[in-house]
Amino acid sequence: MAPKKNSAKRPQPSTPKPSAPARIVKVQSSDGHILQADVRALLLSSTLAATIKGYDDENKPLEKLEVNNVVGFTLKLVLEWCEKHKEDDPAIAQAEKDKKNIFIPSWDRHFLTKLPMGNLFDLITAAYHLDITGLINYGCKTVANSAKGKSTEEMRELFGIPEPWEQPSTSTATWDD
Amino acid sequence: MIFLGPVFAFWQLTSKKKLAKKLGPKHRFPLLKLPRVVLLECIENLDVLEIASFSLLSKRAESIAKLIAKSIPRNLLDIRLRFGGDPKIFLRLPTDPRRVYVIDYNKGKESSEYPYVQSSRIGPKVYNFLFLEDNGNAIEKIKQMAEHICQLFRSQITGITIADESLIEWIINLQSTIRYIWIDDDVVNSVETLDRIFQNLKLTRHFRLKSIDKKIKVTKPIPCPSISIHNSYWFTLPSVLNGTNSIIRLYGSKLTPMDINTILKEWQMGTKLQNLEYLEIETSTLIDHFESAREMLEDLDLTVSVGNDGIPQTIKIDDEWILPLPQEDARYDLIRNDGMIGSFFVNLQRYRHLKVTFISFRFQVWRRSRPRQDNNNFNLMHF
Repeated sequence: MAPKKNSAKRPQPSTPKPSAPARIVKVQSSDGHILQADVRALLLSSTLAATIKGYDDENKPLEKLEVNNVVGFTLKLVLEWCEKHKEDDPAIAQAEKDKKNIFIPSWDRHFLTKLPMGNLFDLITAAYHLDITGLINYGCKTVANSAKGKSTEEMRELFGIPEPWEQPSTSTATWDD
Repeated sequence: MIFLGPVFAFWQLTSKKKLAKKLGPKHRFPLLKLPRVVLLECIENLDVLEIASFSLLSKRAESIAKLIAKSIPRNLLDIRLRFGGDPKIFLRLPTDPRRVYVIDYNKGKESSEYPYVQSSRIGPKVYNFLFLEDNGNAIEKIKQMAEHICQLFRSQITGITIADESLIEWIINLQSTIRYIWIDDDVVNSVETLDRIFQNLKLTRHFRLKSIDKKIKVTKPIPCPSISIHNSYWFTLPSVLNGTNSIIRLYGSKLTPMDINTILKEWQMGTKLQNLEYLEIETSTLIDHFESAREMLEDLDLTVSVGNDGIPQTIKIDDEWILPLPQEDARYDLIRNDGMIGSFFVNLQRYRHLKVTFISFRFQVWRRSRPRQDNNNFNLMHF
């Protein structure tokens, strides 16, 4: 009987690609919480990627990354999202952004819509500070979806914008600037 | 332009039920506190109706909405207003022609139920409605909203159905060009009103006018490519002959069989009606149908055509309205020197008890396409 050619060793189509061993680093939030994350997940953040590259270029050991503008609770959410997407090609997120054709995958939809609006705000702001294109895309799309089918007054309520007569009348002072 | 937020405050007044259920801070998203880049990205994901609604929230919201609206090229947004019945604004982008956004002012529900949104699929189109309560001042509200949308999206009103004479003055003051004007019954009551429209507004596609409630007579043409006039007793032969219209549809006309004969002769000579593509006249006369036919066809160099020999079976009345033309077994053709064919169909019905003959006349201008060169004849020869 002719032997099967490497059939036992051949990976099944559904088997994930073998990946490099995880390189875990500590990440400290602005309020002192220390979390752990895979470097591949952190590379989704252009800001953190630049810092990591700086360490690598100088061959300095990377023990802890400090994220000074994100609190622990939000940073945990950011890292959870990045961990889920660490295999993603960042170019895809950029292409989606450029084409303005953003489809939110089901995991992300669930992840983002379960958050109270206040937390979603913090998450999007953190994604902006850390420059995570994919998370910004999905976050903004989620915000826009929350306004779908809403009248002006319902938007006013959702976005916490005061009634016109409650707003400052001078041109220099506004509620939001 | 004055910020319209206070003007639309009535939206809030009509949604008491909803306002009673105020959201807590956890459920609010302080959108305007987002970094500017991200804020713009959020608004980019809104549709035109949502951008328009958002722009009414505050001055800053309006300026942000304007920035986003700038991504839509100038005059791209199709804005149509309908003032008869429940007043409505229709918005549509040519990039997504099957989606129509509608702001609809009506009185069909309890005050507490307004405002509300609803989507409906009608044929291939999806209509996204925002229903607002008509408190009796819907016309003023819609005018203000239309002006706001025009400014926001840097677009002009594409078309308007006018149900009240004051709207003529309003649209004239708002812009100098418009593609469509439809005027409802008994809005126009003088030649001066018509003159005012045509002297101040350039109509670029289709003008439709229903009944005029006064006896008037007009000899000037209507400067618009496509015209449809109901109860057009006042629209005289010189108005037809001296115009540059490509589509003329006259119902309830007083043009006579002799007038129709003149039109045909003038068309064939080629000095008038050079742009004409389609003419439809429904008129009546006291002379009988034999005499009517004789007058209409007198001294014309006609050929009779039978069957479909390539004559177009539809006519485009405006950008979207394509009218199927009934196919007759036989028709009369006139040939102009430039090769254009003018085909006409006449239906004459005599009502003896009324001593009236009703005339339905359709004249279609077309050019025979060159016959296809293929090898079928060769093959047949060798079969």
